[in-house]
Amino acid sequence: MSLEVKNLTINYGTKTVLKNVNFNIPDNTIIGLVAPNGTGKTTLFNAIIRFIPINTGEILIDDIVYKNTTKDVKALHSKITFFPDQAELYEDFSGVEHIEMYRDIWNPDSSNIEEVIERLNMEGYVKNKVKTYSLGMRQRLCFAMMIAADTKIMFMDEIMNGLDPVNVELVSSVLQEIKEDGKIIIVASHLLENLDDYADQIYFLNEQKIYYTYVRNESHREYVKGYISEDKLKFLSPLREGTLYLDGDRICIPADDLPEEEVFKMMSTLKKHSSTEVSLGALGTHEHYLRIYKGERKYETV
Amino acid sequence: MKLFKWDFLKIIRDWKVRILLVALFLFLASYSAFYQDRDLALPLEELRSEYEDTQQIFNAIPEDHFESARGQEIYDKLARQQSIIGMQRYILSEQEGNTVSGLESVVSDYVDQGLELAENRLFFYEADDFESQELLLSFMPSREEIENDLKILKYLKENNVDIDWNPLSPSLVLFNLINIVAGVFIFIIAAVFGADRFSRDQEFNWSISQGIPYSFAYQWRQRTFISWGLIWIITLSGIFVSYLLSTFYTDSGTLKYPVPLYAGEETVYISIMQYVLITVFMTMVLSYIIVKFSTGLSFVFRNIYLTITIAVAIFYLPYVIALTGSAAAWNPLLYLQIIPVLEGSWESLNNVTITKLLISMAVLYIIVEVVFHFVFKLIPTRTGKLERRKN
Repeated sequence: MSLEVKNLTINYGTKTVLKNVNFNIPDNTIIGLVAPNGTGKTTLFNAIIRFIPINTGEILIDDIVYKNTTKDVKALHSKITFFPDQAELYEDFSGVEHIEMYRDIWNPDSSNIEEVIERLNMEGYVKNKVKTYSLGMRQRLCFAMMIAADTKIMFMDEIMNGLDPVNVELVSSVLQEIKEDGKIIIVASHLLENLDDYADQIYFLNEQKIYYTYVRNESHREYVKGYISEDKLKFLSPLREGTLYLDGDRICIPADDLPEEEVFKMMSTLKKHSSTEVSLGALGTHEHYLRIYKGERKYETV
Repeated sequence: MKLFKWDFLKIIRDWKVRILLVALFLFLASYSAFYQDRDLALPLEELRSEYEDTQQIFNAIPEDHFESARGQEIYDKLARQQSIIGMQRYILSEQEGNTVSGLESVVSDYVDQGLELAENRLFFYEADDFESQELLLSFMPSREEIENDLKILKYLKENNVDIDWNPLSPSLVLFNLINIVAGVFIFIIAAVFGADRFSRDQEFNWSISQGIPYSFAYQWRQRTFISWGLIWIITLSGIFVSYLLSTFYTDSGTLKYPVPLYAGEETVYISIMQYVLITVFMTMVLSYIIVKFSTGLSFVFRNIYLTITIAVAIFYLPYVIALTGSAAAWNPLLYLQIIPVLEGSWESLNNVTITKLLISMAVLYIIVEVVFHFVFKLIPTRTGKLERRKN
């Protein structure tokens, strides 16, 4: 299975939100979709699933184009589910009923309800009416509904909203498990470091397109990563070529061709001047986010 | 079928729907109880009035006009009329049926006497050579009314049905209730039930109800059927309970009792049971179209009051259509009101028939299907708009 988007353009009136967006996602893949609020993440989901009109572009699943006909849209909806908004659940239905509803609509042959409930630790509340649920309980229910629907393609918009760290970890691990069934999962989230735990590839939306992508498991340059204020930057000088000094005093110094002693010395210096964590590794989603949306600071001049 | 269950639960869990269903049932079920409080003219009282009229005829017509052979014949028949009315009054007052037990040879049979009464009246219409014919006829019902009376009496005789002395008998209450249900009442109920079916999802449950692998047209038909089914389960139960309750108040009357039905050029008399079956069937068909229309409108407008207003306003279209004259008989919108067609109120429009009513309903159904076929190609966006798919 593959999901391909070709030359997708979306306008709201005279404003262009997405312009010539292109990508192709193979199965067994979790994509992290990252962008600041209002950049077009939800619009991209809505366009692919045809909740909004598409100005130009094509949606292909397994190389088959899904047009705007009733028949094609219906077929598209049988392959893709969209993460529900927790505020839009049926207040007079129980959690079990919501899960059963999604199962009945998309996956009627399955009887995996109990398994899903157990896996997401929902036994304690799932039989109660939704109107009694907290934000986190609702969010877990929405996730459970998606799991019960079990479609090949899943759009998880703001999936971690309202979840505590334990449940963030739980949902992350379930995402990795279900991915193995040949699924394509696109997750829009603002928990950037959490995305690094399970996403295979990260898409950064910027300037109305997929501005930058990177595959997490591919080899990348090693960096010494830490935080240092501008006034203490002189303790690291001369800074190496390719150093990134980012918003929030985040600094990433290339380390892949440095001897171990030098790396250790650099990390010690960073640790000495900042109480926050110092690490060694490839640039993560957080660093890319700062680089793309906040820009690089001119460390040479500080 | 799986979606049917969830659509049904969504509708039935809605408190507004539950309250409406309970209110509908209570209104219909208690109708007969409230109807008992009505002040209706009893047939016995009507006969009293007729008896007095006959007496006055003798005083009004100059005595010498009765002296000719024709005058004598008229005089005898008038005297017989008075005698018959007197006996009919007695039969009705005994409330036993068409005869009074043990007195059959004295007061005879209500229906036989009624037939003689009607034939005598028709005779008066034929008596052109009687000098005071005009004055005489001014005390008589119209020829059409007499002919209809004859039809009723012949029906009673052929079907061995007793005259109903009580206008509050269960069968007549049922007849009235069915006429109410088949009027604007069903329009309002259908409009209210359909008005929220899509708008509620679009307004409060958008993300959970969009993107399911069933077309909006499919969901529309399903939701229409569920609403319509609920309306009629409750309506028929309410009517049945109302009928049952009215049998506790009185045991007179029968569902075989004749009621008029306009059938093209003339009125025929059928049993109340037949009338109920015909009217309920047609009302069910019409209400299905109205629920369908209202449910479809709820996809377009997220304002239930607007949807209800539009759907109910449709009920009054026939009055506008009727103004267009004889061509109106071919306008399917004229048949949005069933009762005037069954009663023959639009006889003046020529050729307004039950057959055309059925054809018109089929045409209206097709029109609604075609219109919404295009409407459901639109996308209901989160912002409350319907947008055209561009690509």
